[in-house]
Amino acid sequence: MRRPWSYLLPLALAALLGGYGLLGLQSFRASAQMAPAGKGRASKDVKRTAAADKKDAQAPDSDEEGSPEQVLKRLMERREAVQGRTLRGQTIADAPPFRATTREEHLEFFPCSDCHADQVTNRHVRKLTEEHEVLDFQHGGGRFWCYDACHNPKDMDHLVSLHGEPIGFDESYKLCGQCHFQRQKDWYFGGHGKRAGSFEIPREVPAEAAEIDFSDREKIGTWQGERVIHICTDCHDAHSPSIKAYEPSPPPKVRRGLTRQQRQEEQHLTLWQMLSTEHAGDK
Amino acid sequence: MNALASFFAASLRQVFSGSRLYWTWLGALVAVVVLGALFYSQQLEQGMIVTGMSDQVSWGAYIANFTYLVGVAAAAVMLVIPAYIFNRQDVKHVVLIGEGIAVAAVVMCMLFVTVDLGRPDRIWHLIPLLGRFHFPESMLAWDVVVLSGYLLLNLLVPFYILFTRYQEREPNPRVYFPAVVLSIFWAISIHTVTAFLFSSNVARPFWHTAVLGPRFLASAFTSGPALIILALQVIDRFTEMKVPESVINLIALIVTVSLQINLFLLGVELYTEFYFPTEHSASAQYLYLGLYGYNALVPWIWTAVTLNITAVMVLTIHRTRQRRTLLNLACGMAIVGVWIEKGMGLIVPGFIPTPIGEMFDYVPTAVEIGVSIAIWATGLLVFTVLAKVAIPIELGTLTYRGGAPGRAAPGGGRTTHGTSAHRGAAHQ
Amino acid sequence: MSPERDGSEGDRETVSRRSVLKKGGLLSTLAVLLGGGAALAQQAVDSDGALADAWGDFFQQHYKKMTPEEVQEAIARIERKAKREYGVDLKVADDAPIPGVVFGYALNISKCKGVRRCVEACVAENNQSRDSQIQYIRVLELARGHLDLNRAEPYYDGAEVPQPNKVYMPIQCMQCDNPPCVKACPVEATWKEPDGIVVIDYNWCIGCRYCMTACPYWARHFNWNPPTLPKEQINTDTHYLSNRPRVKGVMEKCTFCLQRTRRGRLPACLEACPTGARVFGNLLDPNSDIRYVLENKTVFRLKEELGTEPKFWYYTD
Repeated sequence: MRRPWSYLLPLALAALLGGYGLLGLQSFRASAQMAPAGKGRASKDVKRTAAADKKDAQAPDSDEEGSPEQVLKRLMERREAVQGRTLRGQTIADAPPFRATTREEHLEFFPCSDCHADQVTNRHVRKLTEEHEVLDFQHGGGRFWCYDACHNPKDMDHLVSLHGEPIGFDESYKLCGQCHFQRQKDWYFGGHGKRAGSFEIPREVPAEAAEIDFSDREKIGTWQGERVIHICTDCHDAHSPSIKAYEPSPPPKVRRGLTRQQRQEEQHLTLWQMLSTEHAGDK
Repeated sequence: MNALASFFAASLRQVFSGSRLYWTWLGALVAVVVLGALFYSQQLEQGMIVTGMSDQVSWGAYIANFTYLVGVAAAAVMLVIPAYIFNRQDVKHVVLIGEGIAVAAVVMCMLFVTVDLGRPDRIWHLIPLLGRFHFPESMLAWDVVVLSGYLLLNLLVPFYILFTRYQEREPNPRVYFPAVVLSIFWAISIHTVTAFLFSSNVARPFWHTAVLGPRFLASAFTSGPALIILALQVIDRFTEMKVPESVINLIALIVTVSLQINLFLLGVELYTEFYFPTEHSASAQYLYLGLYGYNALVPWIWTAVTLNITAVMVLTIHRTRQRRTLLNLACGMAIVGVWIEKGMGLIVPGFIPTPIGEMFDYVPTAVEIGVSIAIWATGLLVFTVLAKVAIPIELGTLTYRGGAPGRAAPGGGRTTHGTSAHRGAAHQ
Repeated sequence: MSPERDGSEGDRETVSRRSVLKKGGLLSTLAVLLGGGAALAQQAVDSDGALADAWGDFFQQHYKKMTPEEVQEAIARIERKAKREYGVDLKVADDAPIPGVVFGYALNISKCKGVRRCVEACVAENNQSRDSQIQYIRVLELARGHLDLNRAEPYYDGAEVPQPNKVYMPIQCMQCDNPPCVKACPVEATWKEPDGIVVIDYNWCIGCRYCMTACPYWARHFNWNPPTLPKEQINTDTHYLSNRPRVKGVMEKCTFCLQRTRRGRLPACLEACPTGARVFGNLLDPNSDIRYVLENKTVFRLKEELGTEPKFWYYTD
């Protein structure tokens, strides 16, 4: 008789294969049962769409009626102003009361209509050579030109909203807030901007602390009492609003009589250290 | 004159009489102290700007020495325990020397803290009721309490013993033994409280570790007894008190084991800091390896580690520990090693980098060094004076021979030469 | 009384009027001379009252234990001293905390450009020593994306800020609600006021610098040398607990300009900031600027894990 293990090996292999086969068969059957009942599902979807169609069919199709001008008018009327909401669900209407600083009285050439009343409106983007040459037009990367969103050629003494309504220079935040509504919400509630105080026009920050006037304590801003806050244009040049670089005040001093050794940077940088200092010179 | 007055009069007479060597020693110490006082007057006048400290490293040489000396003060307990708890007669013979060292060390500690204050004239603000003592919230207030209490204990108990011995009576154990037991626990507490002074600061990750308390005690019981060994040999050489060999051997054993524990704890700290370094290990990196180009303390700490390891090797091997010269060398190395490790190896790196990440160096100035040396000289002075009084009384050569009160003892301070060697045995 | 040796009875029984008058006259003359001499000496030695004031300063009690009259006396001493040393008319107020107010501060690190005008304004407003390292505010320049303070650079000094790829983070006293410095002080020279500001009584501080060791924000500073104030730059509108001129050997720190804020005004650093990065107000007022920021912005605090409960938040736009 041959040795028993010579039978065992083929038998074992057969059992293994058989077992796998059975398992496979079972799983095949199972997945076949899980397969979407094509008809059933489709019919369900079809049902839903049909219901939606029915609903739409009931509503009057008025949006599409009328001339293009009428349609546009209706759409414009239905527009809702974008409202940022705070954690407590407040909008700018619920903001604590405040008074903004004025701008009009600081405008050098106001009223603008003195010149602009009898000017021809030129909407072309160009380099201004006759007047307003000092202005740097960087708002929106040069995508905005005078009459596109802010100024009304027929009423240069006011700014104009996207609805076509005039906005006074003293209320310019209503104009800015049309696009910068998140900032506007912050500004209304005190999370952006500054209270008016010893710096009337923060864009002209005194170069040295010695120039800060401490003698008139009344000019210091308050955290209580009437809230007077700086209007947008006090800090942001409307035509080039990004905050510009400054020359910093001097670095801290070391205790008298001691000196400081310059720190040496590490030789071995981590991955993030390398990545975060890349593009250091890029603009 | 009654016994107490006679005791003080005799003590004063003892202090102001001595050999030429004694006077030279005293004179040198006084000269150093006077020089130190001149330095300190500069500090009082110009402010602490004459030191090398800054907002970044706001504690330096003064607190470093203070920390070290609290440990030395605590080490007196290493003589007290064998003497009174285990009734080792040989140790009992010299236990007062240990307590004298403790007193000198505590006095030095208090002086170091005082010179470190920006407004020492306002020190009365610490007195409860008069001022405002922020106990138990402030660890510094705790430190004031335990140090003052320890000073009191180490003055009163030896005073009692010496005073009774002066009157040729036996000190009553019922009186001094409870105080002795208290002083043992108190000794442990002074250095634990000092450790808590540092380890309670969450702002200083280098110190904010539980192992600081044990490290302090281990290093205290290394450096303190090592100093005691050296001091006892000096006493043996220059006074009439003879120190038994067995005492030196016992204390040497204490130094050995403490140093072994100290080095083990050092190893534990190094592992914890360096196995996975974080921003919290920055101070340890600065100390042992240098950081951002600042590496002033690296040679110091490695010297200390080398000294300690060499000392522990010499001490661990019985044969080398029992050779007196080698023992003294090892003790000297341990003393210096622990001083560096606890001073510049602990205080200064705790401040570097600052809690907001600034690297800043600290170098002590001449004023700081001068005042520190002068305070050490003051401590030596205190110890010398105390020993000068205690030794003859302990040996029985200075006694009060008076009888009825009011009658002055004839030559009450006259020393008689007796066999001092076995007098100590009577003190049971 | 035993009889005299020479046998005389002494004058003890016949005390004559003359002897009384003689002795009395002598004594009173002596008294007048001494008193006059003392007054003259006092004039000579202490003609401007400096010594008397120093005496009063030395025995001055803790601020919280002084009666209002004693506080006024202390203030009078401070004002006299300022007159002597600087020739200015100092006004030292003692405004109590406003009830129902706890101050909070927020700083927008998106807006901070590292200009450091806040640092300068603080030094000027709070009469900080010009000849020392003391600056309550320290602006750290961090690489973008790193909050690892060990790599921050406080000594940046270029022609222009902000530098590319850098974030600027000013650090000052956080006025912790659970301040480690208050716990550490052995004489209670520093404590938290009801309006949340941690103050120091400069006349009580013993200069041990344990509070400086305990502070995790490096916000406390020490007068290593006597402060130098150019007299024309002294801000005379001061408060006992904040910006009155200090002496050598005591600690000082930011107090959220309580000489201003307890009168409803804004701190100097906020006033000076050109980018509007700072917001300050009453945390208990639900309509305040600071509450809006805390509720609606991404805020965080530094080293919050230490449990110090700072009242200085950082936020981003």
